[in-house]
Amino acid sequence: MVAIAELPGVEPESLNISSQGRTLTISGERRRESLTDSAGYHRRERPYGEFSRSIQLPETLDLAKASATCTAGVLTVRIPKAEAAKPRQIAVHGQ
Amino acid sequence: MIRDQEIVTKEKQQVEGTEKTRPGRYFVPDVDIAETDDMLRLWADMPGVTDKDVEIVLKDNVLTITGMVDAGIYNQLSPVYTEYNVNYYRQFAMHEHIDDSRIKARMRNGVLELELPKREEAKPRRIQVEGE
Repeated sequence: MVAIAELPGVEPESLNISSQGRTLTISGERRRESLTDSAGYHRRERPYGEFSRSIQLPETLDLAKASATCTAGVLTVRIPKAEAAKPRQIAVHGQ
Repeated sequence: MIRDQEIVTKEKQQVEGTEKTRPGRYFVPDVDIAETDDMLRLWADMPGVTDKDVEIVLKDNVLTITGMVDAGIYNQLSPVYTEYNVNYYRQFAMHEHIDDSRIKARMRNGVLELELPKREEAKPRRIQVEGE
């Protein structure tokens, strides 16, 4: 299973990905760029602050083997299926 | 520790009106714009856009930002649930006189950072008052 999350402006180091039971939680913080000059804002549309989001996972994943990468503000979490959940061919024996 | 406001996911707004030459859905990126004495600074949230996929054009005082998202990460995936994977497009009419030869742009963590320096004649000037 692959989960892709858009997290522009979030430093990968500030990301926290955890799992408990079947819940995967992605949380972190986005800081506003600091302006040194006494600047005035014309627009402030971009949200900042802390965030957290949880998703329910199917039971059949092996969370111990999960991996995550973050490029261009997009987080990709990959969680392989558990061995037990993979489709299996059952051989039929004749008599 | 002071807790900042909480970020919640929000709906993206689709670009309306002008039609693009390249097909695909285009959304309006969130931006911050700040002005200092020397320049305008702009930040635009465009997650998934790398420095190679962003185009910035300043023509006739209209600043156009286009960001293309490489949908390659979705190849060989069958989506169970999706919210978005889109391109970005936004235009601004620039009131200040921008020195387009000195515009600086960079992409960092999916955020476009633009520095738009003002022309010398557009900068605020303090006028010395001479005494008698």
